[in-house]
Amino acid sequence: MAVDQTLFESIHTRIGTQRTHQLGEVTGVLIRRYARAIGETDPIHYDTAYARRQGYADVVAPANLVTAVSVWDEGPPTEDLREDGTPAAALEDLAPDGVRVMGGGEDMEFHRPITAGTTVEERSTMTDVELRAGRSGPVIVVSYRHEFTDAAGRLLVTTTRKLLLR
Amino acid sequence: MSHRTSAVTSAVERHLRFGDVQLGDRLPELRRVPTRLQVYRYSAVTWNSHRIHFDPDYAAAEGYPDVLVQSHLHGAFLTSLCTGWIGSAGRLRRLAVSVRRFAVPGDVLTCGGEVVGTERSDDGLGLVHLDLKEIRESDDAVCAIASATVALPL
Repeated sequence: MAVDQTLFESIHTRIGTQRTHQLGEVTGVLIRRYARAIGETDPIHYDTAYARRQGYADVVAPANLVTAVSVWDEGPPTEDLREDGTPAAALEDLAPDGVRVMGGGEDMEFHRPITAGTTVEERSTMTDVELRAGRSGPVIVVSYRHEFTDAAGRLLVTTTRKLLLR
Repeated sequence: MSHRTSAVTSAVERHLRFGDVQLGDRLPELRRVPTRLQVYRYSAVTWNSHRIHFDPDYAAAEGYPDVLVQSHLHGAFLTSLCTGWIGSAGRLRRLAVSVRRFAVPGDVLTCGGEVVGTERSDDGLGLVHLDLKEIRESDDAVCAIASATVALPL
């Protein structure tokens, strides 16, 4: 299937669609592994005692961690992944096989630090869809707003994200 | 125009204050050279199974010279640029990242930034607005641009 007016219109009907996901607990090991993977050395991400001396409950997640995790649960069986390796569910079945999906930028606001042991809920809303003429053919730009909150409902991170389908 | 680079001591125990910051200040540069191993580990920890980040044959079929650095890893480098600069007393409040060019393992990526605005916030902190860029050393390509806001004690 191609990126065209038909695909654009089918996505456009979903503007305003909201989904809520229980992401579970951001664990200390997730924070430490993420910090390792990005090359961070700040002990605030590794050392609980150090983090407590700085006034935090536990080690602190690098700011963009929760926005960077692709899949919070185990995901589908390997044989059910799309040709490009991604789970169809992550795209809400927006993009049929053969349509390339890329991140198109993200605007994140950090409301409060996320420390190990925080239970996170994500509320995602599709806010806009545009069909644009790209350099190498048509591009559909889908915008989402995501709100990450803790168990008490306090805002942790909000982000506006664009996905490019080409 | 002259630019002042804020004094750097330890990235960890620094306590940058609002009064230390002036318009036009440049952040100390952060150099990152992602490797295939780093990109793989980043995919693993974020449970990102997209082939473009670990399968060179797939990347070649898509027209790329190697697996691609994830957009969020570009964002993480720019996050580290900000949090390393402000030290433990400041907070990153906002980061808007736009990836402009793809990067592959082995690219030398230099993250830098400049203070483009300062203001007092309602809650008694100082807000510093930054323009950030991640530039590939080999051809000066701008791989990512970003704007950020950090909050600092007065």
